[in-house]
Amino acid sequence: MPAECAELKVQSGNGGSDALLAGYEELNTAFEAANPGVTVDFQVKSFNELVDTLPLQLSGDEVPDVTQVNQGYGSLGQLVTAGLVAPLDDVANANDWAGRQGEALIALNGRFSPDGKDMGAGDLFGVSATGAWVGLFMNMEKAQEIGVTEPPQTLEEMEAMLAKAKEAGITPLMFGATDGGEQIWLMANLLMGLTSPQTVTDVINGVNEQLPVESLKAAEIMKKWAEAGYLTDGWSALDSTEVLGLFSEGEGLFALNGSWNVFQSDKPESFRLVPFPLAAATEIGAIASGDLPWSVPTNAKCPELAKEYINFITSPEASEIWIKAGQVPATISGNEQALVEASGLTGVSADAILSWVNIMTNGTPIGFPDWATPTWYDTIAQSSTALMAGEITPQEFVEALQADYGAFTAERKAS
Amino acid sequence: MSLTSLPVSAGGRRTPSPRKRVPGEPRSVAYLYILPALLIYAAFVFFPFVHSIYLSFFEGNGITRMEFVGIDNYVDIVRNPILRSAFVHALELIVFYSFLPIAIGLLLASALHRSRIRGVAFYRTALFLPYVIAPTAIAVIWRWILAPRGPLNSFLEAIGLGFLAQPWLGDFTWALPSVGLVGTWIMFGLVLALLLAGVQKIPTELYEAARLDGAGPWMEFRAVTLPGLRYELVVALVLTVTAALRNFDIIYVMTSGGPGNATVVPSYLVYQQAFKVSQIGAAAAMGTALILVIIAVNLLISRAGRAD
Repeated sequence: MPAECAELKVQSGNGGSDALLAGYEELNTAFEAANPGVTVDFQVKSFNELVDTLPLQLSGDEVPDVTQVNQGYGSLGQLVTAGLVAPLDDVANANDWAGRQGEALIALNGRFSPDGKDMGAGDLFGVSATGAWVGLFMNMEKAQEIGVTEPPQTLEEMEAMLAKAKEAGITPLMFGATDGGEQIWLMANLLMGLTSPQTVTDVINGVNEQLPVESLKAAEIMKKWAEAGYLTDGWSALDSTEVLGLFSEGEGLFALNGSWNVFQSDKPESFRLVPFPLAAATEIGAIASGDLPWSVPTNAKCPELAKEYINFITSPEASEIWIKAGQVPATISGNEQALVEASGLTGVSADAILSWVNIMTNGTPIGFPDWATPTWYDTIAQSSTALMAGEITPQEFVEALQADYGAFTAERKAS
Repeated sequence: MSLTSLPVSAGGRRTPSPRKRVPGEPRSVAYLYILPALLIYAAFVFFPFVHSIYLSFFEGNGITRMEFVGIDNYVDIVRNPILRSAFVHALELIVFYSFLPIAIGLLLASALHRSRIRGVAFYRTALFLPYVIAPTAIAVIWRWILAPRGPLNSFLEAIGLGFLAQPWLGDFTWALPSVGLVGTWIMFGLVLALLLAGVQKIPTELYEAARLDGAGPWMEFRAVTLPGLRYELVVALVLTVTAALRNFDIIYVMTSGGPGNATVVPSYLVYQQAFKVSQIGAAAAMGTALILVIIAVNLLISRAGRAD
C-alpha cells in the first residue's frame, strides 16, 4: 500500500440522512480497525450538491478515492463516457458481488457499456451499499374502517380501496407533487402493472425508441385518480416530506414513498409498507434500486484501497451493521428476519427491510424511470402535474414524454 | 424640463475650463489606481461573461468534447415553447415587480406629500424593510403563508371565504401572480423611498402655483408631481425591471418553476440546464439572451427617461 494512502478520501451524497450516515460512521470505524494505519476521511455532501458538482470535480486532479454517484444516463453514464470512473469488475468478481446482491440489482445500479452508451449491461462502474425502494405505505387502522384487512394484491383491488376510502371521507392517497418524485413513481408503478417489470426496465435502459402503448392507459389512470379526488387536497403545492408527515400522523389510507423515508410512530403496528400492486397477485416488482452507488474515480490516488473499502461496506458483515442501524442493506445475507427482530425493528421499519429481501429474492427490481434521459425527471414531473391538474390530455402527456425520450434514445444510439 | 431638478446640480460647482497640463500626477497614473479592481472585475465578471457567450455556440455537457452548433441554442429559445415561456413569464413578472410597486408608490408618495402624516420616517423604514431581507428568507416565509394549509387559506376560511382558498403555488392560474405579488411586496418599499425623496425636492412654489391656477389633486399630480419625479422613476424602473427579469431566488425557493412549467423564468432555466441536466451550451445561450434582453429593456427605459 502506497504511503500516501494512509488517508482514504470518501465522498458521500447522503447529507441529511442522519441514520444512514450513522451506519457509515460505524462501518468507517470498523474499516479503520481492519486496516491499521488507514484513516477514512468521510466527506458528506447533500444529494444535489454531489450531483451538481461531480462531473467538474472528477475531471480535476483533486478527486476523492471513493465517491457516491447517481445512476442513469444523465449521471453515471456521463461519467463513464468521459472516462472519469474506473471499472470495478476485478474486485466484484473476486468477491462475488453478483452472488451477494443478485445480478439484477448489480446490473441496474452500475453496469454500463465502456463508452457509457448502454445502461444495464457491460462493465461494472458502481455498486450500492444500501437499498432504496418505492412502495405503498398503508394505514391499517384506516383500512379497518373501510373493512380492509390486507394490503392490495392487485391494481384492481387497490382501485376499489381508493374508491371506498373516498366514500368514507378518508383521503385515499396522500400525494405531494412539488418534488416531482411521486408522479414519476406513480407513473412507473402503473406502467409496470399494465405491462411487466421487464418492459419498464427496457424503457429505462432505452432498449426501444418508442414508449410502450400502455403508457397512455397509465396516464389515463393518473388523471382519473386526480379527478376523482383521491389525492390530498392541494397536492400540487405540497411536497413529499410534508405529505408523508401528515400520513404518519394518521391522515389518509395510502401514501406512495420511499423506503428511505420510513418514519417512527407511536403505533408502529398500524402502518405497513408493501410493494405497489401489479396486475396479478403472483407478481412482485418494484422500483427498487440501491441508494447512490459507490464508484472509484479514474484519477483516485488509492484505487486499490478504495475498492477494498467498497467491498467492505457491501459485505454480508456490513449488512448486519446496516440492519442494526435500521437501514436496508443492498446485500442479502439470509438472516434478515432474525436480525430485524433482534434489532427491535417494527412496523414500516421492519417492512422496509423484509419487503426488500422479498423483492430481491422473489420479484423483479427495476430502476428509477428518470435514469432514461438526463431531462426525463423534469419532463415527467412537470407533464404529470399538468396532466393531473387537467391542463393537458393523456395523449399530450405521452407525447411530451415520448418527445424527450425518443430524441435522447435515438441520439444515444446513433452516436 | 429645467436643470434645477437634477440632484447633482444643487451644490455642485462647475469644473474650471481645462488647461493645457493638469497639475499633479500625470493622468495615466489613474489607470494604476483602478488596476486591482479592474483585474478582479476582469477575472470574475468580464472573462466568464465572454466565455459564456463563446460556450453558447456549442452543445455538450461540459466534461466531454463540446460540439459547435452555431446559433442553434438561440434558435431553440425562440422555438421551444418551454424556453420561450420563461421569457413570457419574466415579462409578466415586470408588471408585478415594477408597474404595480410604481403605481402604489406614486399614489402613496403624492398622498404623503399632500397631507403631512406623523411618523413618515417610521413608515418609510417599515415599508423599505422587505427590500433589505434576504430574498430566500422572504421566499420561505411566503411559501409558508401560501401553503395549502397555511395561514392565508386558514384566514380565508375563518372569515367565511373558504371557497377562495387555493393551493396558491400549485395552481396553474395563481402560481405566477402569487410569486409576482411577493415581488410587489419586496419592491414597493424601495420605490416608495425613492419617490418620497423625489417628491420632497419638488419646489413647493410649483404646487402653490398649480393650486392658484385652480388645479385639483389629479391635475396637480399630472402637471407637477409626475414630471418632477421623472429621474426617480427612471431609477425605480431600471432597478425593478432588472430585478423582475433576473429573478431566481424567489422562484427557486417558492415554486422551482412549477406547477408544470407555470413559473419557469430564464435564470432558473440557466441553473437547471447547467447543473441539473448538464446542457452547458443551452444554459450559456439562455444566460446571454437574458443579458441582452435586460440591456435592451434598460436602454429603452433610459432613452424614454431622457426624451422630452
